[in-house]
Amino acid sequence: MTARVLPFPLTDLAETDEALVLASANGDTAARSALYGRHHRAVFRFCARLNGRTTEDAQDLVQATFLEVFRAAPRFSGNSQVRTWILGIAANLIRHDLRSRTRRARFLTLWGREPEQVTTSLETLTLLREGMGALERALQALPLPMREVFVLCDVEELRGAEAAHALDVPEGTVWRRLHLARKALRAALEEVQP
Amino acid sequence: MSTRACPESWELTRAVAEGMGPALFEHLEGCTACRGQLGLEKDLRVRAQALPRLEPSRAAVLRVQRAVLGAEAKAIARRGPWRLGALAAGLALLVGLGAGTWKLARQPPAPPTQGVSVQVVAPTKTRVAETAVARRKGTVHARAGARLVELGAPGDEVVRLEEGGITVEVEKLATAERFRVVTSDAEVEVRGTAFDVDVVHDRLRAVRVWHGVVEVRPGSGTPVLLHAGEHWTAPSAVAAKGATPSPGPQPALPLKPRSDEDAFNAGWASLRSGDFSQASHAFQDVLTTPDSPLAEDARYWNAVALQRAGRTPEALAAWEAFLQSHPDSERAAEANVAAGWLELGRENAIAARARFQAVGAGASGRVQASAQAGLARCGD
Repeated sequence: MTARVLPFPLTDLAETDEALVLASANGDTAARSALYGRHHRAVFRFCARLNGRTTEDAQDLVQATFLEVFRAAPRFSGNSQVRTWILGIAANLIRHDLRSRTRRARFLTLWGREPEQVTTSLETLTLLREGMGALERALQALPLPMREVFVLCDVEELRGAEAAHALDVPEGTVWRRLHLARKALRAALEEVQP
Repeated sequence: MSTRACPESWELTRAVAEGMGPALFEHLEGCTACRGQLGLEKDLRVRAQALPRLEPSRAAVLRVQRAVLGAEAKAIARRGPWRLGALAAGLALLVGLGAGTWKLARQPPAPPTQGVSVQVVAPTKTRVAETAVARRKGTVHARAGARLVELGAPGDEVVRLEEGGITVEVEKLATAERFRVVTSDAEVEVRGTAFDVDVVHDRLRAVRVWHGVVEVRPGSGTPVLLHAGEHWTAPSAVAAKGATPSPGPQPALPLKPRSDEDAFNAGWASLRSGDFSQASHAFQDVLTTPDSPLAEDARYWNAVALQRAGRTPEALAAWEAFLQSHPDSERAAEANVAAGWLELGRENAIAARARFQAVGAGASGRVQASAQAGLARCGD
């Protein structure tokens, strides 16, 4: 049997995330698909925990993140790990999404309408039942900057320098925010379980 | 006794995440307060790491994958047009355009153009379940009391049936498209047909085919193919009726596997479309044909598909199987390089080095260059 033509170059078959980003920048669909396959779970977890609403919203954010990743791929500088870079893009989109929702809620309240109610799907309910322990609930009550560093450093286990890169803040800021986040979470947990 | 002043609180925070230097270590030996603080910080980190790992559903993963790969790219603003509408309405109100514009703002958000799932509980008479997307190829007619959830997306439609009966009509599916009815104990897969499915207490009870062909895959037992006019009844249901099968023809044809060429082509199509798990499944089907001339290619592409799917341990096993089965393959060097990079990704430098070193001088320049780069990363 004649060997089939490779649907993608061998070099990125065996290569790193960086090679996949470069290939993505050139429109290589297989590389984009591989990049998505490697990182979509981490992005979903990050979005779900930071967004704090429904899994559908988290999936929307995952989609928006990867669309932006592929759009921005030609500008990837290689100064950070690819996962860090992708999570940084996700963090920006989450902030933007939260700001938009806040503005929208204000607008609706101003004009006498109830802000949009969150509808919860069967899938979301299952996830929430499985995942919403006391810590998860306390985490959702944290201000976003603290939640970001806690999820990145303690849940996703990024190093401080990587989290700083993803969030575009100095590393010292990461540690201070993480300290405050842990302190607030401890206080919240002690209220629930004295 | 501590030899230095207590560190800033955030320094202990960092120490929990990334370890501590000798000075802090020495300080902690003599400072009970800081040790206590460090213990609290560690406790919270441990609890954070024990949080459940949220996983997206497979259907959602596929939907987003298709969207981001360009087929149906949509921006984050799933409800974007509504947002703009509301904003426009608000501005219009401000300039006094009146009640008509206000009504526009009160319109509910547009439904998502592509839903992940739709739950349908049939009312007391037969009805047609609403499908999430117009382009879905399956139409589900739920009988009274049926409980089901439609999952998946066009191309991989799944009906999760918990209770009751449904009649399903499926248009002819293209290559790699799937339509399945799933229960807790079995799966029914179709390709262009109409059929009934009955489920009792989340267990598949019976399947009847009106036209087309249906494959029934019980969790335990041999898969069977049903043709038009035939039906299948679960063994437990037959036993409950006193060993009398339900009326009508009830063949239990042994499942005819697809040919190795068909399976290979399906795998190839899935690989090109980016559905690597499905591709791997198809390539493994090729290997069920004894002495298939496609076995070498199938093993190779199975490993590629698994690697692309990010299923590293399985990919490594697949590369090993390829090299064991086809040690003289022209692609052995490529396989070694691919496995080497995977090992390197797992920080297994010893295994990676062995793979890269196995690349002989006869390999192409590109493969040799990749092996040399890998060896350099191993520290050679």
